[in-house]
Amino acid sequence: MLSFFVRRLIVAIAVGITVSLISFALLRMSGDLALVLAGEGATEAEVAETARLYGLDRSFAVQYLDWLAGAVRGDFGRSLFTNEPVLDMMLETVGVTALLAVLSLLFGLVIAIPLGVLAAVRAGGWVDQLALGVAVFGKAVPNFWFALFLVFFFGVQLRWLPISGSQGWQSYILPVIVMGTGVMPQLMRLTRGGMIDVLEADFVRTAWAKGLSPGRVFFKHALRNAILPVVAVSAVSLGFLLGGSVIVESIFAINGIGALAYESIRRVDFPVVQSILFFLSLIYIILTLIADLINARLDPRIRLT
Amino acid sequence: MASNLHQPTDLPEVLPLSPRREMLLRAQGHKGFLIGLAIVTLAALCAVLAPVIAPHDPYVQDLTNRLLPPVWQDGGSAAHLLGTDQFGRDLLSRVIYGARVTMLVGVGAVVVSGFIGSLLGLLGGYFGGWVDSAVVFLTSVKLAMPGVLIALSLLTIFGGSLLSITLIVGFLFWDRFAIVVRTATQQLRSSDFITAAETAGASKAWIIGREILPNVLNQIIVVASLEMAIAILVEASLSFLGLGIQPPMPSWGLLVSEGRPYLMFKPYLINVPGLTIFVLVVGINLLGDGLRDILSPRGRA
Repeated sequence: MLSFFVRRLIVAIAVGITVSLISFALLRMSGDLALVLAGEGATEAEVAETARLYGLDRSFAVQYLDWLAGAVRGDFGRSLFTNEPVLDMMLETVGVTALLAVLSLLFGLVIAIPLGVLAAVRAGGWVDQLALGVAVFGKAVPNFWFALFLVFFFGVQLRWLPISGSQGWQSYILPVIVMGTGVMPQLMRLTRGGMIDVLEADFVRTAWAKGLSPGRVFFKHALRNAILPVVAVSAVSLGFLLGGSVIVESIFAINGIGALAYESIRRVDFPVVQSILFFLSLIYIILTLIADLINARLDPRIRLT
Repeated sequence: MASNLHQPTDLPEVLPLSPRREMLLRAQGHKGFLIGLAIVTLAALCAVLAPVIAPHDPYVQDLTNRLLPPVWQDGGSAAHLLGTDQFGRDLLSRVIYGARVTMLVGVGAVVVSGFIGSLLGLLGGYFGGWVDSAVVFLTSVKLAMPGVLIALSLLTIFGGSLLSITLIVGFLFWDRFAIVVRTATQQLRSSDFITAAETAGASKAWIIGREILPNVLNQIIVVASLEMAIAILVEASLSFLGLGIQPPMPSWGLLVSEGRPYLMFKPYLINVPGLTIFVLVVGINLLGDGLRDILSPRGRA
């Protein structure tokens, strides 16, 4: 287990370094940043001065290593737009997004697990059909339209819920429904598939033979085993939600890290953009690492590969 | 010849059906596949025949006829079946022309991502060793990065055009091709016919291109259809955020964002294009799931 962990950790670090390089290189592709920063109509001397000021006259490798060395110590530089430290900006916004992502995952699981279990217990029955319909909907609905539709229906027509902002728990309901619906189909498919496999397993047959009640067989014996892959995938879904909140945050005017990324992309604030890309990737890498460790803990065969 | 004489001529077919015919039969009985095929065909027809079937020019503004409601509401008229937008442009025509953007980006992006992903998957699966490790590593890097944010960053750099969106979406969503093709290739790797080809002295390029590729093509097609659905949703999202397709070109995602200020009193402006995207993506998913059932009836991958 330990050597599996060490090997997996080394790969994770290598992926992290590669991601940091790509995040950093991405915004240098825009051509001469100094030209953009100096503003339109700047003289050559002004552009050169800007380049020197921001350290853009140094070689790419030096700039990258300088940035990485800072990032490792938690210094991601300053925003070109607000001059605030990028780390502060990220820490101010990531909490809201994390809360949104966790709640959305929980919403997805709360729908996916019972529906997946019932669909598996009566495969082909009406619950299974309903579950399939819900999954098809969740996979195909454009989240921006779903969000606007909910705003229209619950916020404007019924006036039940606030339509924007992140004050009060009510303002999280609609965003959580939209984002949770996006991750729910995969979780449900996994629950259903896992349950169908497990229900045919010998230990479940034994449980029936012992005369246990259906509730005990389904939930105590079957679900506990079928749910294992769902737990691991949940970690990955969480990472996906953290990196994919930009649309929901922009529609509901939530000041999360997705909205900060979007704002910064629009105003070519490259220290912020590259740091957010790196930061979100890092979270994803850590979450998948945890997911792999959970998997390996549960299924010893994985450790050998 | 002699044995043929004993065979009655009107016996029903006893020979096993040809694989092609068997597939056709399975397709005819697959409701989801047929519905999906109908929806996708309709969208493709709209895209190809847009100038013929669109009742109006999608770009012409008519400020005297702004924000007309659709025909089923009070004040609607048959001249504008789905009403008009804030510039008096015919919504139906814009939705029909929007099919061009959607289908072009959807198909184009999948061609790009399918090529990159399949190539990586074939190489990793066939050669194994460090090549395979490199492919797995690249895929992990790709998966770790937030795709939509990268796409948005690239779009600010290169600008939003049909070509840039197609390429960016293609470059960002190849991972599923790589994973599926790699696994499929690994399974074929030790088959007798591959060993036979190797023994016969076939080159590696020949084996990958002529022996393995045809055998993983079905899986590639299934992934392609499901990935096309994702590509279409991503394009719509990018255009909705204002960094994808630029106005006045009609993209369905852009139509939703253009209708957003009128959410309260003209909800059809967001619901018509939103529903259109939804129906097409459902159709593509049904088609993809159907293809999987039809092409590989055993072992649902």
